[in-house]
Amino acid sequence: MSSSNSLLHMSITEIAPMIQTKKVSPVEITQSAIIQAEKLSYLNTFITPMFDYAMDQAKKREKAIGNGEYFGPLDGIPIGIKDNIEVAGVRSTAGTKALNENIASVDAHVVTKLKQAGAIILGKENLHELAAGGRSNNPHYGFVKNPWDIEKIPGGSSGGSGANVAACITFASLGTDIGGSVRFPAHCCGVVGMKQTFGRASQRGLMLTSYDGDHISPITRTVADSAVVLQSYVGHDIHDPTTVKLPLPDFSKDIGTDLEGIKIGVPLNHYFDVIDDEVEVKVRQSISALEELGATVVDIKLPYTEYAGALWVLMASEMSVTAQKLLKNHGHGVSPDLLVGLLATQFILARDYIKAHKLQRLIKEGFAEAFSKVDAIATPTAPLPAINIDADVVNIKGVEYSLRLTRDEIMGRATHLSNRTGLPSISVPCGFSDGMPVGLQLIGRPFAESTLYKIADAYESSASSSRILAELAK
Amino acid sequence: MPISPETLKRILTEFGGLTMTDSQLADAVGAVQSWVDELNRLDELDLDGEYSGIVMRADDGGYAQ
Repeated sequence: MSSSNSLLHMSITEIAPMIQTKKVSPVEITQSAIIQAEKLSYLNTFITPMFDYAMDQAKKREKAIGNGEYFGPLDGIPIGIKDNIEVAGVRSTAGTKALNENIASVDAHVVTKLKQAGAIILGKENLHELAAGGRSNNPHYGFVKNPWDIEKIPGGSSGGSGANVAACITFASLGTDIGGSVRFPAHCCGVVGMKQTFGRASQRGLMLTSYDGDHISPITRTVADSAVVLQSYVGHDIHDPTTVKLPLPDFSKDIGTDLEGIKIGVPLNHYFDVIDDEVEVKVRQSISALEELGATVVDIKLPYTEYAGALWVLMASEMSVTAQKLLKNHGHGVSPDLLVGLLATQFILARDYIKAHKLQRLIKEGFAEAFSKVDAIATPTAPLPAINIDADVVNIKGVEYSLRLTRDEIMGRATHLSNRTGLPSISVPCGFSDGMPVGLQLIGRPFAESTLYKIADAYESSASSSRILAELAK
Repeated sequence: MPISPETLKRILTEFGGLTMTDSQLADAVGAVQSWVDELNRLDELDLDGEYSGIVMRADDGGYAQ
């Protein structure tokens, strides 16, 4: 039998065969994960822990596996669920005090699928209030802390999810990504965050969101684990009109293959225009590494991206409708940060909304043109590493950017275009800046997640910074 | 509509009697203005003949996608 901590440090693809062959039991792993969660409770990663439920489920799965009923690679694996994704019978707050006593009546579609796969839900994870920001400094349920440095943010809005995976509390967590909310925490916490193509996964059971551009997406410690988790819950949902009826590929099929023939585009504009020097060095080094692995790297231009800031209107307008009733009935429980975004939507004219949609079309066409020449686009995930929890401003190349009552446009600068275009994008760790992890983002063609996994895995397998754990996770 | 602390205060009242402190309102004016400025930059573009990100698809019977 392995020691508890070394079990938690494993990836899903490493530990799953041990569960299948009964060398490790779901009860043993779940117990270890709960001990780790309790030891690191000061990280504030959970809003509602579900430890008793998790132990009950682990015992059931152990018995079933003992009887030869093995559901696959997620069977008996402890995972986390962001608290804006509904789990039946469990409090679902979306991170706001206004929903402090809200109990979900049914599982989100993706939660049903994960339960069917045998995953053990450890709890509902902390987040930026209503998933509307990148810091996870939740005023109601506590600030989430970064396992690499507890004075720093874990990123957001899926901060509890990123921190749980980095701290080896969960093997995987489901976050949500409407502007980078899975990829930014992955970047800040040194883990892998995948936002699949819009339409791949059901959003049913995702609370108070903009259905135009939100995604329920996995955070994991390895690229191969990400493919396994995504595979378990995507596909057409007859009750979600945003999902597509496409054959589901095997996301893991190209993992481990070489990069000969792969073309990677590096944008000459937007993505590297505002970036910390050290982060840029790490990202460009990782692009050079991809070239050494056999990929061809070419420069590309993405037209109209200088206007990308205007696309906030698409998400904010829809959120102003989904949150309207909450504000009317429980508005006093909502923090000022959040109110600013909702106030801004009151100044949007119909013609501005239509113009933003026309801009969205132009930007989509720009990406489509680029993808006629390349298989993937490589960018930073964010312009800077995790900032201090109490930071009011950030300084990039001598320019100060305020973080007070903003839409966190600096932190989401490199990620949000993939939400407005729907393109799949993955963040994979590519080194450290000032002691904090940073991420390389790879953007792919629509529904080409397998290609992104192939490239990201090749990089991960070659990088010396891969699979390094935060000290307190050990 | 001009963006002023008073305007924001009135909107908050319509949201169900919400309030912000004077200092929060002052910050909010700047933040809301920066959001609106981003939108106003679109006036630099000639978008008349462009399709929208939301288009009516004929093969879906005109269903918006």
